[in-house]
Amino acid sequence: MIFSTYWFVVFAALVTAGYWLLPAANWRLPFLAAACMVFHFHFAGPAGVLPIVVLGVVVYAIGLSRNRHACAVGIALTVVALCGYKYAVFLSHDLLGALFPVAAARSAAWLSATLPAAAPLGISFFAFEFVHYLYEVRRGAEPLQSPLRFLLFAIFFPTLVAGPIKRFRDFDPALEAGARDVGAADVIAGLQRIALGFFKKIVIADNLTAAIDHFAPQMGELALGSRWLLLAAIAARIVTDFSGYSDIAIGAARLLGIRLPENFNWPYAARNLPDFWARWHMSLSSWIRDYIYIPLGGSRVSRLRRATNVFVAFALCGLWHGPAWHFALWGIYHGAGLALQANLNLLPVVGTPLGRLFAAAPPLGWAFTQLFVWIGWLLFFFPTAQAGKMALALFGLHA
Amino acid sequence: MPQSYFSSGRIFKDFGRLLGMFALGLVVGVFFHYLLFRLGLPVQPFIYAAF
Amino acid sequence: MNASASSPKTAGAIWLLAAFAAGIIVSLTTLAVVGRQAAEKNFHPGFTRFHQKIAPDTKYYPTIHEMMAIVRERAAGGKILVVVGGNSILYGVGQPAGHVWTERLQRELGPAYAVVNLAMRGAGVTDCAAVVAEALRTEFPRQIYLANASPTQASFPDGTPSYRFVFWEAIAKGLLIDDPTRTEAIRERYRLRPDTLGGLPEQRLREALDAILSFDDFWNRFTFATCNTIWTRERPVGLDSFAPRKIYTDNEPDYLTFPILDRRPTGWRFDAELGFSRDVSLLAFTLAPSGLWVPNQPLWDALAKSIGGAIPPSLRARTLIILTRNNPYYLDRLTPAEQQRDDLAHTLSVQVWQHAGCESVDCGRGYTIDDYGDRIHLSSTGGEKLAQQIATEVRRISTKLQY
Repeated sequence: MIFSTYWFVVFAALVTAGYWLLPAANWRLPFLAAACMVFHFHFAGPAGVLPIVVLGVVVYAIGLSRNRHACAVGIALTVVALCGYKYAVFLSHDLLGALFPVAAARSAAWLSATLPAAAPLGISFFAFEFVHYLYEVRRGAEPLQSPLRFLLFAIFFPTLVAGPIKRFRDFDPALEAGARDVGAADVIAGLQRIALGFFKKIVIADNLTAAIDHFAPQMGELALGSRWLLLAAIAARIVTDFSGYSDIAIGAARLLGIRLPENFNWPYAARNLPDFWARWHMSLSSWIRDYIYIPLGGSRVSRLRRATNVFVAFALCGLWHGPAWHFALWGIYHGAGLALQANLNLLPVVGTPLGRLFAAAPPLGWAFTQLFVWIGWLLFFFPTAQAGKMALALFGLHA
Repeated sequence: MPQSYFSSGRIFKDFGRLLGMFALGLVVGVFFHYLLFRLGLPVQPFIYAAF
Repeated sequence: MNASASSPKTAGAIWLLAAFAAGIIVSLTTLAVVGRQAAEKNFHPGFTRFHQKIAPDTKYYPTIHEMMAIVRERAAGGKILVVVGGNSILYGVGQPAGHVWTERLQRELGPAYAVVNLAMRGAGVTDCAAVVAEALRTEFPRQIYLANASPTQASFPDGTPSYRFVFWEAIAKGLLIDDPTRTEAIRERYRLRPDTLGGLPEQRLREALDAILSFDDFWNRFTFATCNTIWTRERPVGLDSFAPRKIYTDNEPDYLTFPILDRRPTGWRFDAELGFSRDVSLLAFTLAPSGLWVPNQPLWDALAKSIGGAIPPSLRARTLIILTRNNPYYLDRLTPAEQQRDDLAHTLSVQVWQHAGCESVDCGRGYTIDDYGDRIHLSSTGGEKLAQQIATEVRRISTKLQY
């Protein structure tokens, strides 16, 4: 729940009031750090705090050293921690299990005895921020010297749980500016943004969720139009739920005068798939671009390599959402879509005419893009087999 | 200065802005009141908070 | 920094913030005042009970003031107040509107009494109705609170987890007696059973905010009269899903119209229900070598202790606890020894409640199979018998308390 709790409402109100009332701007960041620790401990508990503290200390120390090899080790360590907490059971059960069932059963038993029942709060987000930090330091960026600033980067309460994924070279100056220049306009903008976020979540997304939960299991029995309406509800649900969350995070930071990166820019207005990914979960897609796609070679390689890079980047992007095949497939689905779109003109017979058609009629490109994205949400939300059945049902077919 | 402020019509513009902001505050206040009620009923967890 | 604070741009922003904040404050204050007034008057016309569409089963959580307003309207004019609490048995599951046992009780008692059924499914002795009656103790000093319990059922001092929101709302609004024994019992409950704490700190925070802003009262009334703001599958068609709760009627089915096999199951369902009937007194006694049933004392002591922490001493004399029995369809099939144990459990439980200063009565003895709709719930005919028996008890208590 996190943001949808009375505790958070009261906490955010008290922190904002305290932050504003502090007589000196240089007291604001230590105060904020203390508040972030309280928030983190309240929602994550000791078991959730420990991994981020340990990993954070290591990443901070490695960053200070500026040693390229140490940075690489730090990145590997962070990735191992992320995989260990989040994917170990999945990898052991679904991958190892297919090849070596006995060994998989043993490792599953060991993992369930060793790992906590749930991964530490926000691990997917802070792990990506740490990787970004070390990657940039390794490339020569100035590391954060102040432990206080690093702590705030690591556990800044509005973004701790689900982003937006920050970049330290933007965030650190934003912290400084917030503490120094927070003003009345920030409070107005912050409160409006928070209200908008909760409106999206509580009024739209949650009501849609209840309706979707009711209708999705019986999708095949609905009239064709209602099936498409259900798909539209699913598409509206995810955007209002997640952009609502991002609005609350951005608004809560804005109350403190701190600007966070945006996460959404009208994704359902996108006219093609690259455009969609430039508008959807922007802090993640840009991370994937900068720290997976480009290091793999980006677009400065052969067509085939480029397509493979997109494919790999999006498969990982899908898996980032959770240790399940349908997430991986969702990522691959988008990777395939992007690769196809980039190489449309290579398709025999239909490629060139299709390319011309999309160029001549942009609304057609928009419609195809949204159709592709919306059907993709079925893979995102439902187990693969059910998603397949639902997709067929949209076209009047029954599996 | 005050004369030009009044005669230029800026006072009406500023008053309009203040009134608009007050009205927006009213709307946000109603929503916050509802939000406090709604948070006590079952709410769905945020999708991305689970990731 | 100081220079920027006095710049025209910032000064303008401060005025805008002041206007914005004033708007928020005006909204919150107005809605708080309206909310407080909204629950002053009963907005449940012709209230019989909190049927499923206006109960927590469907995400509707009546507030303490909302329930108090129902009682006030019903008991106006100096009537003796009879508040009915307890679980689905006293709520009247299986008794359709118009044939609910409390309606019969009202007719039995006549216009000098006001019977209000605030029982809810799965509720206990200390839930909703108990809190409402306690909150109205000064306004309606001539009151009788009644609820049902099974023989060794201990009571949570602040209510069962599903309904404790009413208790904590009343606490936040300062409506309850400051009873140190109850406070200590609550503390002990959560010390011994921290797993039951659940969302209580959040609940208490909510109630503290609600005591200031009255959002529950305002939006409950809005939900009931104007628009249900939560999508409900009760009417899952388009905007109908947001229809106000007032459109729903009490459509509790009539057990007497159910097929006989549903009411008198055979096979595995019978075996399961028979097992439940046996379990009612299973742990309450052990069989001594002499062949006599000996009370399992720690269990009975726990019951006595729980009463001490659950009901403030000053309220016990007007509290009537009804020990309801299982359907004879099952009881008659217990062994004679088990039947004797069941009888003893009810008798001893009545004594424990009475010893604590409450009134207590054993109901269901002599009821027929047709008086029940299932193992525990009464049909309309059973409800009539219960109403007659309880009317006698209510009159007796009224006389005793010089009402």
